[in-house]
Amino acid sequence: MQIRKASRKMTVSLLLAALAGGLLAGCGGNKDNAASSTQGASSPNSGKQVKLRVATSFAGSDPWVSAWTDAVQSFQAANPNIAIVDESTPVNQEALRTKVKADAATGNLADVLFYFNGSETKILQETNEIVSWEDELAKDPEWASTFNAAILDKVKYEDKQYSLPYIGFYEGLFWNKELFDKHQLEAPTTFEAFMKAVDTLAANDIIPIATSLTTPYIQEALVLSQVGPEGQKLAYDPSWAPALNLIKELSDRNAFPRDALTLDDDKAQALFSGGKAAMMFNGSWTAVGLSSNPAIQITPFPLVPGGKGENMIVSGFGSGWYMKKNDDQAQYDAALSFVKYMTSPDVAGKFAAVGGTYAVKTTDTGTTAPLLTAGNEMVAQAKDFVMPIDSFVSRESYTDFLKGLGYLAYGKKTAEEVLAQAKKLSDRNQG
Amino acid sequence: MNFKDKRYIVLFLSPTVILLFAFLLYPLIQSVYYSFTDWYNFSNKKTFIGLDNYRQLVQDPVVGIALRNTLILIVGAIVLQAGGGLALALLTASVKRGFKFFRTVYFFPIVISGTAIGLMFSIIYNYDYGLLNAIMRALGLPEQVWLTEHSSIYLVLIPILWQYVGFYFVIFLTGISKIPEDIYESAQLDGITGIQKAFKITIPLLRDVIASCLTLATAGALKVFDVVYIVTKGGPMNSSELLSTYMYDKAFNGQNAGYASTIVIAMMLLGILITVLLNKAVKKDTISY
Repeated sequence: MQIRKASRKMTVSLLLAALAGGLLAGCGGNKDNAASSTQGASSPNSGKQVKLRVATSFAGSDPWVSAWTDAVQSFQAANPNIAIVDESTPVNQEALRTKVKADAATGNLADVLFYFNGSETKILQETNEIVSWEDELAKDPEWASTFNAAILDKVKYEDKQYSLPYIGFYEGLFWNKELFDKHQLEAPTTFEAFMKAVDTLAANDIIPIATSLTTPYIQEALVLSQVGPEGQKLAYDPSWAPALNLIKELSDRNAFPRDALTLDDDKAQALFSGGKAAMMFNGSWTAVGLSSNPAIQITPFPLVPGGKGENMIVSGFGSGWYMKKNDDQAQYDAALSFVKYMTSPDVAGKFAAVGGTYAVKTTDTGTTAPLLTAGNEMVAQAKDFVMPIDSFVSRESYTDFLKGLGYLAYGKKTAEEVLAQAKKLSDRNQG
Repeated sequence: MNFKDKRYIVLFLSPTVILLFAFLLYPLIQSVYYSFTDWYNFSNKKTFIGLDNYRQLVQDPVVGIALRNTLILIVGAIVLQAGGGLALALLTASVKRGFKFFRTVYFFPIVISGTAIGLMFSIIYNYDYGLLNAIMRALGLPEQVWLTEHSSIYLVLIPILWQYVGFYFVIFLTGISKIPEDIYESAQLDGITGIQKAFKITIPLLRDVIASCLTLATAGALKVFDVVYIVTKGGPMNSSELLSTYMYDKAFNGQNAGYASTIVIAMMLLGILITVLLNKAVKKDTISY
């Protein structure tokens, strides 16, 4: 009887162990399979199947989605042994940041990433899992020569080239010339003209500035114009207060949509592109959709009274290509050839036709819209550039800062209170 | 119970127990630990900070707003969702024709995703392109900013109530169908009216079902996230913030998972407290007929 009892206990224990083992094997199975499927391959074209995980921001409503999809398809056609697992995730709601950070924390980074630079590079570098590109650039001088050396230098982190810059962005004041002409207004190139336009348009039932007060763009422009590039680096410094007070003044003058506190950026853009609003301060990624309307013009944000940031713009290479270290040579080579393909002048040219400025040579497709050309000229003529505020402050402090601006616009908090609260959160987490 | 039966009990329960432990209990225990840490950016670096996050929670004015809004949502869910479902069920049960039509119409919103409903209502409330202001214009009335600091929580309550009222309606309808017909027949012989029938027979005999629905409505109100996040993102000025939306904002937009875990623990404790109180309040002898 004792033996039967023991054997039954054993049976139950074994079954439970098998079940638990099965579950755990299920969780880890993908990695094992991926590893075994790539072992033995020596090059991207060796015929052995390689599964390449790529995580980029080219997803959702991103304007480069079609250029990206075409590029991935043509790469796969040329390299039938490499299967691309596209893990691209939209940047909205911090979905991409959350995915990549969770991947980094769990040792599950994709083989190739197109991801943010700046404070985000630090997070990837700390995993000790990403390649520093110096060796590969040295091995292939022809490929290296396609990159703008000065821009490569700008995105270095602790003197290391973890990120290969690709698409650059700029922020500018888009304005509808047709609406300005209709109300006999001057171009908003000076602050006086800008404020006169705000008052006149508001009085004529046209929204002066299409913006959501939950997005960062207009305040980025005001802060840079007020304190200049040096002052902008002093995160949440009290010297920013006059710039923030202008948000309150603009709000009081009915410069923003009536529901600016709950409006999202897509709907704000729709107000501008639909002719309900006359101005919009936003990024180069919106220029693509606006470029079909010849009345849309672009200019840097005008200098505010007493400001230090004349003809200076928020611009830069906020994202770049990262590659994971890999002991499996075939996997490594496949990832490298993918990045080289994406940064080749032909592929970059197709991305450039959609918009943005580029850190690599691009083949001109001859389809660049006049607004995009005007945007590039604005960048070329700018006196200085800065990266956006959120590239060098902690996420928590920045989201709190943005929320605080809503309170400020409706007189519930002062600029000093908003800045002090953000500074407190920033000091607590120097992320 | 003999040994052989126990062996099968263990065998058949084990998959559920393992899954519950792996995906519910273990993460919950981890969340309790994380709530005592400084943990940013989902990194591997977590610093134990004792009760600091809990101190911040108590002092955080947004948590106060979120608690108030959660209570408004619970009251709304109990009175309007469960109450509305009961009222609709009482009305529909006595309908001779079109019973299936009403049942389908009331139940339909449940099968629509919360995100789709949220998007629909965010467009309805939009100032420039919204349905409500289009109606106002058509009526010659001035346009309104609908989602304001004072109105937002009540306006996001509408889609939530609309979505789930059909769920309680179906439960009550099933409960009503279980009440023996002869009780109504004998009451009719005594000359009972329609309203008396509802209040003196149907509702008292549905007490068990009502108790279950109250618990479900309360638990459901504590879990609301999607519709509120899509329509207002907790704004304007945090006025429609719930504990769930604030937790999401801190965890994913603010990347402060330590403090977000503290909010999760607060949500869990609040949920347990309210459910226990509610169960005590409605617990009576079961009705048999």
